[in-house]
Amino acid sequence: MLTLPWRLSSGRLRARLAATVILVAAVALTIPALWFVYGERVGLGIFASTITLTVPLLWASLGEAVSQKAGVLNIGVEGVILFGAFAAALGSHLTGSLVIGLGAAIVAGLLCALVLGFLYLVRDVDQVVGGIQFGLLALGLTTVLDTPFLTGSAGGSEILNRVPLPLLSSIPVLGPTVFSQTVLAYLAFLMAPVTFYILRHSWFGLCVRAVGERPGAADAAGVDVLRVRWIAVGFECVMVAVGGAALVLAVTGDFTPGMSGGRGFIAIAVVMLASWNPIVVIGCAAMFGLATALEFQLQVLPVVQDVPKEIWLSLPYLVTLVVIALVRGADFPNALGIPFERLGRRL
Amino acid sequence: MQVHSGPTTRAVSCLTVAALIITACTAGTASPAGGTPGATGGTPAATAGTGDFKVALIVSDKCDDHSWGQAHCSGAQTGAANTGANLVIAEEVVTPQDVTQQGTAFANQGFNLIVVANGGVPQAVHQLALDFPNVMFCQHGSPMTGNVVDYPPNLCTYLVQFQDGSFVAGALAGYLTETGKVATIGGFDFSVINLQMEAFRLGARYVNPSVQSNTLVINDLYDVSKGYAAATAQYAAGADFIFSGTDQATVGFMKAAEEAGPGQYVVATMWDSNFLSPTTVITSATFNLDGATQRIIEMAARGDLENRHYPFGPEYGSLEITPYYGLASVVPDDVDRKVKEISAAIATGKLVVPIMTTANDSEDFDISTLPPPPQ
Amino acid sequence: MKATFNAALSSASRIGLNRMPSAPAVAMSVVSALVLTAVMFVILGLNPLDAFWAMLRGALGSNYAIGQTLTVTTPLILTGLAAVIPFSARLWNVGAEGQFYAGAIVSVLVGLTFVELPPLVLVIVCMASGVLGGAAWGLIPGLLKAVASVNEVIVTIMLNFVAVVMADFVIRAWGENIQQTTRPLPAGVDLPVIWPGTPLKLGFVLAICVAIASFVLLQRTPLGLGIRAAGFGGRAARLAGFKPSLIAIAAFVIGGACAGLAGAILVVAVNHALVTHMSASYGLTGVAVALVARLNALAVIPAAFFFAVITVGGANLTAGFGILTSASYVIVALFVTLLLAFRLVTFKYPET
Repeated sequence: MLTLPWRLSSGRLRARLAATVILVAAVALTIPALWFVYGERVGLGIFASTITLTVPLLWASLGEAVSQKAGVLNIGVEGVILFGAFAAALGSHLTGSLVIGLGAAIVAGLLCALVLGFLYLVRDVDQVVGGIQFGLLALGLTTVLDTPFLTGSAGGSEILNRVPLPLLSSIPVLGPTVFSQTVLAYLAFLMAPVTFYILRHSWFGLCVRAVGERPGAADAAGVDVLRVRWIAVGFECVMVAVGGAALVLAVTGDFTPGMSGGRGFIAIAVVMLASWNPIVVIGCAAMFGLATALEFQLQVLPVVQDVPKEIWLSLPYLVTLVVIALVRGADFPNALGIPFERLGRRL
Repeated sequence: MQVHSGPTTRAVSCLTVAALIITACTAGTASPAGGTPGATGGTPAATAGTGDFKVALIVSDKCDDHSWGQAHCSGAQTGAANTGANLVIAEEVVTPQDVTQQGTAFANQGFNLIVVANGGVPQAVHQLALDFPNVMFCQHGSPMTGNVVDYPPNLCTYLVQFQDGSFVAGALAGYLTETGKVATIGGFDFSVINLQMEAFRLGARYVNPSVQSNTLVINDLYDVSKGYAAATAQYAAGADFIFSGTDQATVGFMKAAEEAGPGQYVVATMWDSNFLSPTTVITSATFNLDGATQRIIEMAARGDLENRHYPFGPEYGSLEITPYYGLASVVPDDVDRKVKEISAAIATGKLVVPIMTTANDSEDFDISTLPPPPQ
Repeated sequence: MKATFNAALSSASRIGLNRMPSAPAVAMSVVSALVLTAVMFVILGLNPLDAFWAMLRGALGSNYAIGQTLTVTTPLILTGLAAVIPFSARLWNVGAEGQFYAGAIVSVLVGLTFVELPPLVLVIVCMASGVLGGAAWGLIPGLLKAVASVNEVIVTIMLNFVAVVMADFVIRAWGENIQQTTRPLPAGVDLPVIWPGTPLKLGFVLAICVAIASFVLLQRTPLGLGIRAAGFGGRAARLAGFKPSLIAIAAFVIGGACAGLAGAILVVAVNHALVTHMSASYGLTGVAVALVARLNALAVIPAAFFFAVITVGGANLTAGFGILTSASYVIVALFVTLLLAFRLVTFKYPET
């Protein structure tokens, strides 16, 4: 009964996939190019920055991919990142344990899922409007609470150690930079295939896709649409909150108000660009990480540094715009953004 | 379409759930704080005072940022404590409109002195001074406001001569650099930030004319990830000393310096930040920034504050850079002596650091017009 | 059969405007907003009653305070309209912030270029160019939506970021690098004060006129019918004789023009220049204003006033108790979230 997505047979879809691959490849080729022109340190520097900037984005994008696949367009990602980061900072500062910080972020993610699920799934609040208000609420609340609860904790905090991977980190040149990351970074890249497997090959993934495409049909087939969406939103919020925690625990060691800095919105763009495929999400998230890293590297390279720096500073946003225009008419989950209303549920 | 129709039960349950969730979001994350949240809450920024003199500080950052915000808050708290003034601090007031609202609110509550530590809002503060002639306003952070002629009787501006300490720090970097490259990273292309960064670059070139330097901005004062990425870019481009024109993003520089290996250093600004990363923060140019704000409050309490521009030069500590702490071994005695001599030359007026407020101004400056560096 | 996301959003759907919300729902949302705000105050260590009273006094305690609150109301009315008009066509314009900056940029550039014009003429030209600037920035998502069905939420959000960076560039290039501002507009380029003793200027009246005009546009003109029909779905718009793509462009351009006017007013009448951080989140607050006004262009006026009271009152809260100004943003977001949760603003979706 259910016609499921992921059909790569359609010509349009194949063309779009090709366009995406070419785009990602073109941007990815800039690293070797800069490496070749400006030397090894510049190339390695871009690699290191790109990975650091990609990891939080990757967590957030993988989460968002699942909820969007289930038909919930959560625009409030930005807010979940903030709550996750705030909880991680609070947990680790109070206990001195980074693990508890991560745990606090997961709890915060679940609480966010409770609020967002209540809004989106119980009260059928419009997902765009509700998500934006949730984002504002998170920004205001974390900023207000930062002063009484995290004052004096800024900076100097412990952050996660880098764990060199046994064999890979001994690869000459690239190894020490690329394969020496924090646990959260490895996990992020590991979660991509895991998410892919769940979505594509598990019973739950089948339900998610069904619920995102034809909730009515899924309901008729006995799938509890709302329950599936609740789980998807819960999964999403935990992933996104861990992304926020990664921002704190792996980079800054501290919470700063508004530290999400638009990453949530970029995550939504990443998901759409990647056609909801978690494996492709890695490439797309890395592309945005690279665009941000280049933003700074390009300002200081000879030759290009006479260009107004505003061009480079708006690079990630311009890339997003171009990319979103390219994926126009993408194969959006049919029911994305539309609350489920069971026939006769409200009569 | 559907407006829920079983009002009482469902509405009450909704209210309860919403209240639970949102208090959970606030209190839930807060509860590990131990004890009652209210006790840890309150207003750490507001120092209770007994006096009738009421001082407000409107600052663009947070009071715990180890930088601009912390220096102003700390100075204001000391000033208020010394004079017995009642101090309230409004943190993170950034936009001109917000400064206007916040200033109006303070003025209406009978505050006597309102200090605005935000370089971007001179017009807003000027307008406030016109609107509230009975309240003294003093604004910090806009270079060259000293040239503004029109000061209503209740407006003053002050500016720490950031170029002095930055120049000295630049000289230190110029002597020590092994790659022959130093760099600066700014939050924004703002004149008060360029003032420091360009003086740093000039200081390095002054003692070592072959030193190359460049600057970049990250469009954010706080984003540590961006600071990390930018500093990584600068170290990769060959710089071994990076001067910070940001606030909290400096923490990212330190992380990048730690990763880039030994021999990569950070020059922090505004607040002594060595404790954040003892192996990379070679010094912090503090400019005695907190002392300036403290002094303004003390002058106001005495009734000495006039409607003019107050520069805070070497006599008020604008040359202050912190000791090298654990990195003292990196600085040869010879270099330390020369740096102190440059400092003394600025203090005695033999060496005047030029004011440069546009990015890359220092590249065009002719260093032969300055007295020769110490040998 | 397979509808795309965008088609789904714009197909048979309805905004719950035809029915007033039930009294218990209104009461419950207001009461719960107050309760939750009070909880926040308690967490921050304040007595909620004192806090609420301080907010009210700060916003409405004196003529000057009222004048200031109305001054803040002005841009909020206009950014509220920038949301109301596209929202009515079910187009999520969250780009009022960017359109605001675009209007401010064009307005200040024109003002600094044609300095030899008489001040009165220059004021009018500045305002008009601000409107055009905002409209042009709104045209981008409109065109992308109409021509290529590109999701307008992402586009408008990204354009917000780009506009802020552009404003920084203009400030750098057209400033004397003295402060974080462009050169000031020529003397005399200003709007007149309409309430002596307060900062209230003509821009407020202008905003009210635009709100009335928008109401007439939406309710009484063919184009307004088309926009509202598009809100009922693409099929409805076509039945009513409109091309949905043209409606999308028109709604975004008109909305952008409103936000651009807000930017021009802030440039001409408040800052006399383009300054960094000029918008205090007017764009996103505009979305909240539009929702509280239930997408009624006239109701935008009191809704904007309500939010201005919270913002200005929030500043007084800081002055009195030293808590962060961001508390007022929490109250705004809390209030609107609860309005949504209690279904005071609802949207109907097609069966899928």
